[in-house]
Amino acid sequence: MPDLQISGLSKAFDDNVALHDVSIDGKDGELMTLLGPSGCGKSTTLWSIAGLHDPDRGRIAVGDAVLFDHERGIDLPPEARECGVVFQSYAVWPNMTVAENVGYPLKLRRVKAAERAERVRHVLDLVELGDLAQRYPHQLSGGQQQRVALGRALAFPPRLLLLDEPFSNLDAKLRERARTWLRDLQREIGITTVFVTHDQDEALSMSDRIVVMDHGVVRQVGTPEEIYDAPADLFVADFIGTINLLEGHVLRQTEHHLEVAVDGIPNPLLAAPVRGGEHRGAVTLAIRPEAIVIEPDAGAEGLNRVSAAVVDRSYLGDHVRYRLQLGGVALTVQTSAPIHGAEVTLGLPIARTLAYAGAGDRG
Amino acid sequence: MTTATAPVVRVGRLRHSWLPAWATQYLLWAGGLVLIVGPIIPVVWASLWSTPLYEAGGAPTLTNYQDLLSDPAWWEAVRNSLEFAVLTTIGSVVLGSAMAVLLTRTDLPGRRFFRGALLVPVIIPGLPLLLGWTAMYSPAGYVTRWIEEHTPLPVFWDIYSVPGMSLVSIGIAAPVVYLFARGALASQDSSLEMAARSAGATPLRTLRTVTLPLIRPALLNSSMIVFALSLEVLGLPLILGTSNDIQFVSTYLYDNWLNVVPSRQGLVSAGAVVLLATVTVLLLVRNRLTGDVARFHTVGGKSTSAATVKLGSARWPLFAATGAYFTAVIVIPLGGLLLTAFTTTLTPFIDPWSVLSTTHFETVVDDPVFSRSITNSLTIAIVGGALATLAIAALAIVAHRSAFRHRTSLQYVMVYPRAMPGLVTGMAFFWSFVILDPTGKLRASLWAIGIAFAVRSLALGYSAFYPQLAALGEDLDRAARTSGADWWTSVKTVLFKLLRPAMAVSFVLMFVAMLSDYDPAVFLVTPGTEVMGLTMLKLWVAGSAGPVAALGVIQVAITLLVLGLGRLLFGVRPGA
Repeated sequence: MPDLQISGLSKAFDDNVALHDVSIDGKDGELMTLLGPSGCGKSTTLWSIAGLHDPDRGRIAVGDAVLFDHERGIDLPPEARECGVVFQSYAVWPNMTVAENVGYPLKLRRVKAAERAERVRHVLDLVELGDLAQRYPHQLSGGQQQRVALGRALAFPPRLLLLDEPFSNLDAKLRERARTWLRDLQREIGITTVFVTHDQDEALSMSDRIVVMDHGVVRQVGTPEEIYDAPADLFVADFIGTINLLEGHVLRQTEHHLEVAVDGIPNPLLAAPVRGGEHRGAVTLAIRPEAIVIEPDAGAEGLNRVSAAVVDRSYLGDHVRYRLQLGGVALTVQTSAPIHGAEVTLGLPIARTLAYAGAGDRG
Repeated sequence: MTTATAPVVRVGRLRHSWLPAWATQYLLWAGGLVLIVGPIIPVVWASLWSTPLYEAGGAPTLTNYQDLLSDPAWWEAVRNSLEFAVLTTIGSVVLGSAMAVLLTRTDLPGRRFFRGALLVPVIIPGLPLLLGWTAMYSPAGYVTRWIEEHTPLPVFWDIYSVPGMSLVSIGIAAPVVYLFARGALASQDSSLEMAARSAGATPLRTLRTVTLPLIRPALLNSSMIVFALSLEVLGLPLILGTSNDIQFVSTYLYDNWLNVVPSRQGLVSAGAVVLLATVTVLLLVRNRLTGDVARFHTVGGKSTSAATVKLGSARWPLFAATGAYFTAVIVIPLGGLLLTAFTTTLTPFIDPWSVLSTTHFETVVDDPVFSRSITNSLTIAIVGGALATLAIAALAIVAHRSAFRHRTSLQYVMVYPRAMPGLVTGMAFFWSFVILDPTGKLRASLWAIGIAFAVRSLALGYSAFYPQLAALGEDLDRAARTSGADWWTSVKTVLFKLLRPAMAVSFVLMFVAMLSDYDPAVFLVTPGTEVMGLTMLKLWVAGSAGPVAALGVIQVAITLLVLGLGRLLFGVRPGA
């Protein structure tokens, strides 16, 4: 299975830059997610791979096959790119049966009828629609239609599987099941897959690697753990999950830590700089709500100890979310341990209190 | 890549269309342009040339325009046309919008029935209905004579005068305004009116200050259309204006081409160019004016069921008035048409039931011109309608579903025939055939009239087809492309298949329009290629009312039959 290489991809619609010098390498057989807010360029990237958008510059290759190369004037039409695409709307043709939908790409490739029927049967079994081959799309549920679209995309078989927000039209329960199912299927057949979503839960739970994009720029590429625990910049930190952002300025830099005076808090905090080198001036500290320790043991090390007032409490079943006031700063803390009383001592682990240069301009 | 048990697929080379996508798109685009816009060039040429184009020699000249503009008869015709158009427009807007409010926003008894009945003049071919009007309301008509004979009431109308003609025209044009206004009212959230009511406005005040201002763009839009149509209308002044020698622009052109010896073809071409320019400018202005509609767009999702204004004690008087109106403009004219067709003589002095006969229908069947008109019209409507529908589908797909660089131009080209007066279309094709086919073979065949009718109805078919194309998600063709289909293959295997219902609807509307069309045929007809509309027009003017009415009844019957079938099978809704 070939690797996907995207380099220097740029695209502007009139004056709006949709993609700015996007370079991504997808490894053989991995599921890579393009994640970002709407308008970040994730769909444009996917369409560019599929050949449904023309980038202005750059190069896209899958293994040895060059799909697009601006400099060499290569721009394969979508039909020659051999990408299996699953559209957000599914785009299952309502006038064809399930089997006809899946067999369509094979028919175009002159696969003999008997062989085609066998392949269609196999693919339909794969997507668990073996019994519904002769149904028409309007007789299927949304989840089933989506699997028809997936079967069609896998039929010929493609070099790459491209999925554009495939779960956004499913209801929440079904969506969760579909994720696991698709993830298992993708592993089973081992096809290199590019997946577009704006849903971070989806990205975190399914991906081998995540590409976080914003305003046409790649912000960070990494495993879900890397993205969540060590966001490359404030945008990623803020976009993925919930995070507390505290603005302040550097007092002192030690070998491993920064000593930061946070606006509104009397005592300075120790924090771990995300990037090496010398830090001075304005910084923003970022800490996840679940990283904060409630009433830490007296002997525990590596913590900034602060005391805060409880403002508000939301009970969310498996955990509780507190809004606290820390001097002049509001802080969100997530814990499964109840807080008693109006005052509480908090421990902010130094290693998880990340310092980003600059004020909170999100990167 | 697949699991161990996966069968190996032996994949062949991708299927390809004969022509690359760009070549197909260029061919369709060029074909559309040549057929729709191309024919205008010969008219302009003919208007600037000293001799008819089929004669050798000649030189560029402005004489035709000088002759036209210095002819007092032309200016008389322009004055009449303008007076007629203004009166018709005002009357239709007042009547059409009043009907729209009355039938969609009030508790008028029988409003559902009236809503359907109001569409009759839109559905039924104009010419037969006009014959019905004449049979009943002309100075010698049945109703006129009956009132004079049996009541002391004065007859206040004279449909052989310009105001009288616009009275007839309003009966046919008001439904057009009604349709636009109804559309605007339906899309308008009635909570806007409820808000005004709860703010303390009376129903009438709400109507005046909220409802009517919101449908103003629709009224403006439809009044421009009615005005433009009134300027070019031919059948009405030809039938009603001749006896008092009232000339309109259209009849002026008609007479100078057909009835003046020698035919003044250069002058008529110049007149056609002037008419075309005027109508084009009018419709461009309309586009500009209605472009600014966002201001009138009502915010809000689902409109709740329209709030009904209680008419109170005015309910039954208004019902009576509406009923009288419908009787006057629909029931009586249709009755007139039927009576003229089925009686030997129609006058109030003889009981029509005593002179019932099918003689006129027998004449139609026996007379070669009449019967040929029917078969010709049917052939044109069926074959032409089918071919035009295919053309519309292909062109609309190039215009909206391709990466073709000139696709936007096609979107404008396809609606342009709406701006072309039928007379101009006919003349445009006449001169085109003269230039392209000097032998006259093409012009002697039904293709000549068929092509002209098809081009003229193109905008109608397109406007029925396009919304359905737009409603098909583009992902459907994208999915075909990524599956391995090139552009034309995806059009053929996915879009055309999914658009079959839209094409059926488009065909039914094209069929009906082409069956009753006649203006373009005025310049194109040759012995053997007569069509129903033109035959009716010519023979009515020549004075043979009975058989013409019979032909009209046949035309109405075919139209209703096809529309009924269309509605049953494909859900066609005329005027919707």
